[in-house]
Amino acid sequence: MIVVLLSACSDSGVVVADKDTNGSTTSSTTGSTTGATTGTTTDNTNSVANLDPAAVAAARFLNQSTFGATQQTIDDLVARDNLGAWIDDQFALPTSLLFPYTRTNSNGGGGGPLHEIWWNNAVDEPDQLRQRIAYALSQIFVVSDIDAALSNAQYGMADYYDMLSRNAFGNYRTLLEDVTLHPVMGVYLSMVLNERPNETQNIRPDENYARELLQLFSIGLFDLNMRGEPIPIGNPRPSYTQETVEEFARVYTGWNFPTARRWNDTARSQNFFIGRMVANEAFHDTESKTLLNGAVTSAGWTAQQDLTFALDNVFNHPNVGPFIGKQLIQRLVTSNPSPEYVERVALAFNNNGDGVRGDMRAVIRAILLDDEARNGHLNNPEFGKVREPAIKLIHAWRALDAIPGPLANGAHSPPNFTPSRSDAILGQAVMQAPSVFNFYLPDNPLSAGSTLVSPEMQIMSEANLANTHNNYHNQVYRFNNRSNLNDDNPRVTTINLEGLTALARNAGALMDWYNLVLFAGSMPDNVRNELISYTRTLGQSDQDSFAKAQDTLFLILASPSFHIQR
Amino acid sequence: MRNSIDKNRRLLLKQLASLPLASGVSLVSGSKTAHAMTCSPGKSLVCIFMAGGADSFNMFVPGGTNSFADYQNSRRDLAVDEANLINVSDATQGAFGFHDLLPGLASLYNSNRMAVVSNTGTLIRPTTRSDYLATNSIPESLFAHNTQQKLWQTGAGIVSGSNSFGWGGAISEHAAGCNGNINIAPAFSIGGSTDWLTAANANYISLTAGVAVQRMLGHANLSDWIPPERLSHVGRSLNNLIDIGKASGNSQVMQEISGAIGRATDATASLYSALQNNPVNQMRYNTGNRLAAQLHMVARLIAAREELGMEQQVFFVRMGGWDTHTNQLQRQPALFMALNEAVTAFQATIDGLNLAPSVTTFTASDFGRTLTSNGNGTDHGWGGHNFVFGGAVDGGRIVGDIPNYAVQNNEDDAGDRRGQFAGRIIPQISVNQYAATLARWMGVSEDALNTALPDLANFSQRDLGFMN
Repeated sequence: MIVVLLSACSDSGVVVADKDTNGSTTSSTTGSTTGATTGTTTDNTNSVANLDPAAVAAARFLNQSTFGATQQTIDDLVARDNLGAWIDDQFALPTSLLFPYTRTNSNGGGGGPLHEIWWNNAVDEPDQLRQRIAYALSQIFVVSDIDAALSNAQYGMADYYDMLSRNAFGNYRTLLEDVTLHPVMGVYLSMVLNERPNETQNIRPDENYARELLQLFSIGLFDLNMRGEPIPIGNPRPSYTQETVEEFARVYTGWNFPTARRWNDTARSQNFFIGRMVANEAFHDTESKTLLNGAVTSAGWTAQQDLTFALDNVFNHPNVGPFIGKQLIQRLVTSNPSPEYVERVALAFNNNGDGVRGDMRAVIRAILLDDEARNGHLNNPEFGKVREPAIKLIHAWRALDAIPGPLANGAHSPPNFTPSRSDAILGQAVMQAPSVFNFYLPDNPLSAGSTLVSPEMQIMSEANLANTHNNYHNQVYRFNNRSNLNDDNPRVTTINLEGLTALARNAGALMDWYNLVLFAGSMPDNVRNELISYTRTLGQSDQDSFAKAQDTLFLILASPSFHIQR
Repeated sequence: MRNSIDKNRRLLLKQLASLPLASGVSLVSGSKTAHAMTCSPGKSLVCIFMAGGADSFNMFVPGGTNSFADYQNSRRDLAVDEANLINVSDATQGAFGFHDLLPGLASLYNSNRMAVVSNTGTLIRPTTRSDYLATNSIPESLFAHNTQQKLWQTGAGIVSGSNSFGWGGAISEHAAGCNGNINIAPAFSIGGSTDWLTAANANYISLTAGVAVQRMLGHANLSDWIPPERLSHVGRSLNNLIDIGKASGNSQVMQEISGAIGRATDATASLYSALQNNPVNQMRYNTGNRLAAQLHMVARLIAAREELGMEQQVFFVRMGGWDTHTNQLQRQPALFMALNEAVTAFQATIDGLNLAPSVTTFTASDFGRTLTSNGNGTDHGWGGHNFVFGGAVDGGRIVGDIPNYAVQNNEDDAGDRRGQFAGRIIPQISVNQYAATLARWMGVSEDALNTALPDLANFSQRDLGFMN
C-alpha cells in the first residue's frame, strides 16, 4: 500500500498562479507558450521544493539502480542514509535466477516461462541492482532466441542469463570468459564446433565470434582515449583489422558442446546448452596467432591456453574501460555522459583502488556514485535518458503494488501482451533482440542529424508508442484493484489505486506523490498544472477521487515527461 | 481508372499548397531543365533489406562449364548442386541459374520484370585489389554489420561524415514534395528503425507487421472505459501534455519524445481507417513468414495510396537471419523459401491491384559473403548480387559484370592476410549508382541526388539503366 508521508502543500498545489477554477481553460496553454517563447530554464523548474530533498535524491538513485523507485524503497534508502552502504547491501543479496523456474515450468521449448520469471524477478525480487546490471549486460553480451537455433534451448537461455547475473558483481575478465565459453553464445555466434583451417579445401575458421567479441563485447571499432572518444579525434584509427579478426578466429577453434559424445553430435539435449563448452584439441588450430598490439601465441598451445592468452590480450586493451563503462552509464544513468564522467568510470575499471582491473563492483560504484550521476540534472537540460519501455512499465507496476491476476499462477502479465511477446509491443524483450547489435545502438542519434545520442529512441516507433499507450490505458481503466476481472481477463496483472485515491482529495498532495515516486522530482510544473486543472473537472466524492486517480495516472503514464529519466 | 486531367490538376494544387512548407525542394523550376524533380503520379518504392549479409552468390549462380566450375571450386561443399539450379540466361553474359528454391524470382526474371544487379556494394570510387591492399579510399569498417548497413543505407563512405542521411530519406523528401500538404509522412518502415529513411526534412512512420495499427485510446473520444463526461477532458489533457513537451525550449530529448508521441497519435489516426478499408486479403502466405507479413502491410498502404492522398510512397522492410556463419546449407533453404514466397505473393498482389508499373521493389544487404567456406558457413564479404523487380523494371538481364569466382589469380578477391583466396569480392557497382537509378525513376532531381550521394560523382555511369 502507498503510505502518505509527504506533507500536504497548499490545497490547490498549483505553483504558477492560476485563477481558473472550472477547468475549462487549459493552464498548459500558458505553460507551453511560456516555454516556447522564452526558451529559458523556467521550462524545467518544478515543484521539487515541496518534496524532501533526501527522498528525491533517493528516488533518482533508485531509478538508475533498480527497476524503479517505490515509496517503500525510497523510505528505506532515506533511512539507510548512505548510497554506498545500500550498494554494499545489494552486493550481498542472493541472486534471483531464471533457470529453476524455467526448468520447472517448461521442457525447454517455447519462450513463455523464461519471460515470466524475468518479469517477476524484476518486479518483486529484492536483488534489484544485480538484476538491473544483468539486464544491462544482456544488452551488451547479446544472445537472442528469436534465432531458430536457440528458441528451443530455453534451459540454456536461462542459464546464460543467470551466468550474467552471477557475474554482475564479479570481474569483467571472468565474465568475458564465461560469455565466450557459454554454449548459448557458442551457438548464437557460431564458435561452437569451429574448426582449424583446411587450406587445401579453402576452408577458414569461422570469423563470427572473433569479430563481434572485438567490436561489441570489449574494444569497439576505433582506438579510444579514457574519455571514450575515438582517437585521433576527427580521424580515428581502427582498433583492429580484418587480419586481426582472422587471427582471433583461429584462437576460437576446437570447442564442443558440454555433454556431447563426439564432435558434431547432432542429438542435442537441453544439457548441451548449459554450463561451459569443452575443448577438443583435434579441431583446434595450433599455429601461432598474432593478436592485438602484436602479442603472439605460441605454436602448439591448447585451446584453453590460446583462449586464456587471447582473452587476457583483449582484457588488457586500454579501450575496454571506456568502451564498456560508457555503455553501462548509458543503460543506467544518461545517454550522453560527459567525457570526464566516462573517464572516471574507465579509471575505476582500470584500477579498483587495490590494483585490480575489471572489478565490476568498482565500476558500478563509480557509475552510480559519480557526481554527474547524482547532480548532473541540476545544470544540464539534456542529462538523463529515454527510459526503456520494459523498465518504464515495471516501474509503474512496482510503484503501484501490482499483483498478478487471480488465474495467472503468480506470473505477471501486462494487459495487451504476454511477457514473451513484449518485443512486438515494447520493441524489446529480454534476450530477444533482432541481432547481436541489440534493440538499439549506443550511438543512435536522438534525431536525424543530432549530435546527441539516444539509444532507446531507436525503438520508439509509432506502432510501439501507440501500443504501449493503449496498454497503459487498459492497465489503468480495466485492470486495477476495483476491476471485476470475472468480466475480463483474470490472468492480467492489476495495479492498486487506493493510495492514489486517498491522496486525490488534495490535488497537490497527489501531484507530490507522482513527482516523487514516478518522476523522482523531475515533473515539470506545467505538467503538474495541467493535471491539477484536470482534477478540477471532478468533484470530491470517493468516486470522483478514484476517477482523479485513474485519469491523472493515465495522463502521466502517457505523457512525454514520464518517458524520460532525469 | 482515375481521370488523368483531374489527377494532374489535383497534383498541381498540392504542389502549390506545399510550396511554403517544402524547404529545399524547388517546384518553380520544376518544368524547365533535366535537373528538375518530377512528380510522376503514383509511384511506390520498396526496399527489402536482407539483414546480416545475404549469401547472394548461392541465390544466383554462374552457369556455363568454366564459370560454374570456378564457383564450385571456390565454394566447395557450400556450392549449390547444378541439378538444383533453374536455368536462365543473359544476352551477353550467357547461362546462369537461380537457386531452385527461388522459382518466383526466376519467373520474374524470365518475364523481363526482374533484373539482377551484379556485384554491388559500398564504394567511395572505382576500386581495385591494389587499392584495397593499400587502404586507398576504402569504405570505413568494411565487414562490420552495423557500419556496412549504415554505409549501404546512406550511400556514404564513412559513418561520421557530413552525408549522414539515408538515400531513401532523400527520396522521401522528394515524395513529400509531391504529396503536398498532407499530415502523413510519405515513408514507412515495417522493419524497424533504419538509416535508409532518415532525412533532414522528412520523417518516416514505423509500423509493426502482425500487430494491428491501433488508434491511441483517450484521444478523439476513443475509449469504452473512460466515462463520456471525463473522456473529452482526458483527450484534451493528453494533447496538452504533448504540446507542453514539444515546447520544452531547453530539452531536445523532451522535444523529440513529445514529437514522436504526437506523430504516433496522428499517424495511427490517419492510417487506421485506410488500413481497415484495404485489408488486401487476397495476398496469401504462410503466417510465419515475417517478410511476407511486412510486405502485406506495404501492399495495404500502396492500395490505400490514393485514399491517403499520396502520390509517392517509400517503404523499408527487413528480413533477418542472413548471417549464415554456420549450418548454411541447412539454413539457406528456409531463407530462400521465405524470400521467394514473400516476393511472389507481393508482386502477384500488386499485379492484381493493377499497380505493377508504379511499384518497384529492390533488395539490399549489409554485404555479400565470402565465397570460401569456414567449414559449414560463410563469413562477411563485400560485393553481392541484388534483385530489382516490378512492372517498370527493364529486366530479364544482368546489370554489370558477374565477378570472377576463380580461386587462382583472382583480381576480384580482396583476399586474406596470409595471401590465401578468401572470396571477399570487391564490388564493381557502387551503392551510389544503384541508389541513383532508383531515385531517378522516382523523379528525384539531379541536384538532390548530388547532395544525397556525394560520391556518385566518382562514377562515370550515374544511371545503371534498369528502369524503364
